[in-house]
Amino acid sequence: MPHLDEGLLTALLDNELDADARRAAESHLAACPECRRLLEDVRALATDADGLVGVLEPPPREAPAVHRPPARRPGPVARIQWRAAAWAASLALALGLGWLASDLRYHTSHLEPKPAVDSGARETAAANQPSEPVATQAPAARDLRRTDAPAVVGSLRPAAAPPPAVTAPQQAPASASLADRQEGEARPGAPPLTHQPAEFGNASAEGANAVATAAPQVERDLVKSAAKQGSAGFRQIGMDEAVRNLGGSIRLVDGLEPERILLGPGDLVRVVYQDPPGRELWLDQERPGGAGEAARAAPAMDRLMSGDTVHTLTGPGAQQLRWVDEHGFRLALTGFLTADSLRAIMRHLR
Amino acid sequence: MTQVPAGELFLQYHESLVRMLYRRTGDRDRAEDLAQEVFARAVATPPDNPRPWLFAVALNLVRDDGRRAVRQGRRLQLLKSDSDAAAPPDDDYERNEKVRLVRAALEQLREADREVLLLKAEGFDYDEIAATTGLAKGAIGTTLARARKRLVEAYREQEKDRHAAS
Repeated sequence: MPHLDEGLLTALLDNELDADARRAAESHLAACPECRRLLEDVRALATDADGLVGVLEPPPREAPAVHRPPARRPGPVARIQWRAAAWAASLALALGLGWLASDLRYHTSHLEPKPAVDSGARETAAANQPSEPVATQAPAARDLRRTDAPAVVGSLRPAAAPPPAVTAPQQAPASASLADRQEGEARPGAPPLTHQPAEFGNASAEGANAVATAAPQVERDLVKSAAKQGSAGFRQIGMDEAVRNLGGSIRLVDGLEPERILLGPGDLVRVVYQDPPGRELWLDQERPGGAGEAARAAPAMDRLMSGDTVHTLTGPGAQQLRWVDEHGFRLALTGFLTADSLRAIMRHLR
Repeated sequence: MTQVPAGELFLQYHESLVRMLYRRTGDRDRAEDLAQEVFARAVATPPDNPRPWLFAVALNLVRDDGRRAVRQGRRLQLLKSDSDAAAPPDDDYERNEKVRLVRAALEQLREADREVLLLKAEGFDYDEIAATTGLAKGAIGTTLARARKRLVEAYREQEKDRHAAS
C-alpha cells in the first residue's frame, strides 16, 4: 500500500473513513513508522489550528443604553442574548404561533396574502439601493442606537414632514388617529422616553420563559403601564365593529391571535398582539376617506403612495413601519422588533 | 426530510451561525445582521436539511457582501471600525494581538479552505461540509488538512513578523 497522505490521515483522525478504508489505513500505519510520524504531525496541526480558530470567539455584546436601576440590570447572559431573543420572538410572532392557521374569520376576498405594498416597497428599495440590500433590510443594532430620524424604505416621495421624535410605541398619544399620532410625534411636547423596553423573548415557550424571567420585573411593569397609557382614549371593540369601522374589511397578521381590538379617534382601529414576555405589537389601520383622514392636519401620510414604506425608530428597540396598501388603507406596525422582523410580519398580513 | 419549525431552527443554530459568521467577517454586528438575513430566508423557504442550508446561505451572503465591499471601498471602513472597536485595555493586549494575528492568518487562506475550516470548527461532519460547500466528500479531508496547515503556518509567520517589528 502506498504511503498515507495528509488528507486521508485527517479523515482518519476525524473518524470519517468507512470501515474498509479505516482498516487499510490502520494496518498500513502499524507497519509504517513514516506514516505514523505524519499522523502525529497531522494530529498536532489539527490541535493547533482548531485552537487558533477557537481564539476567534465573538465578543460579548454590549447592552443597549438602558435607563434602569443598576441593581435590576440583567446579567451578562441576558445582555448578550438580547438580540438573539428579539429575533426568536419575531419568529414566534411570524411563525411560532401557527401562521398556517386558516381560521381568520374576517379577512376579505379582495385582499391578497401578500400585500402589494410590501413587494412594491421591496422592489423599489432594491431599485434604489441595489448594492446594499442587506443593509437596507436589516439595520444593525448599532444603527438603531445611532439613528434618530426615520429611515425611508421604498420610494417615499420628497416630503417636508419633520422627523418623528423618538417615542416608544406604548407611549404614543393613543387619543390621536393613526396619522395624527404619527405626525403628532413631531409636535413639541411629545412624551420623552422614560424607560427602556424589555427584551423580546424566544420563539419557544421555554425560551420565552427564560427571557421573561431574566427581564427585570420592574421593567415589565413599566412596559405594561406604558401600554395602558398608550391605549388611553381608545375603547375596546369586537371584531364585527372593527370590520364595520374599516368599511367591511380588516387587516390581520396571519396566524397570530389578536389579544384585543381597540377603536381610537378618527376610526383608527388598533389590533393588539402580544409577545411571550407580555409586550405589545400594534397593527394600526385606517380606511381611506375615514374620519381620521378628514380630520388630519398634517398630511405627511397622504404623501405616501401604495408601495411606499416608512420605517421609523420609535425608541430603543422599538420600531414602526408605516405604509399605504393597494386599497388606500393606512397601516402601521409598531413593536419591539427589528425592521426586518416587522417586514416579515408585514408580509403575512391578510 | 421533515422541516423543522423556524423557531426551533433559530434556537438550535443561531449561536453557531453567528460565531461562524463572526469568525469569517470579524464584525459581530455584521455577523448578527447576516444571521438575521439567513433566518429570514429560512422563514420564507423552510429548508429540508437545515444546518448545511443555513450555513451555505450564510457563506453565500458573506461572499456577496465581500464583493460589494470591495466595489464600494467599504472594507476599509470596516477595518477601521474594527480596529477602533478592538482598542484593548493593556491587560487584554496580548489576547487581542493573538486574535488579530489569527484573523490575519485566516484571511490568507483560500476561500474554500477557510470555509471548510470554519464549518469543521462548528462540529460539521464531512457529509455536512460537502453539502454546505459543494465540495466532494472525498476532498474534505485533503482540504481540511491543507487549511489547517496553512493557517498554522500563516499564524507563525505573523507572529515572527510581529516579534521582528517589536
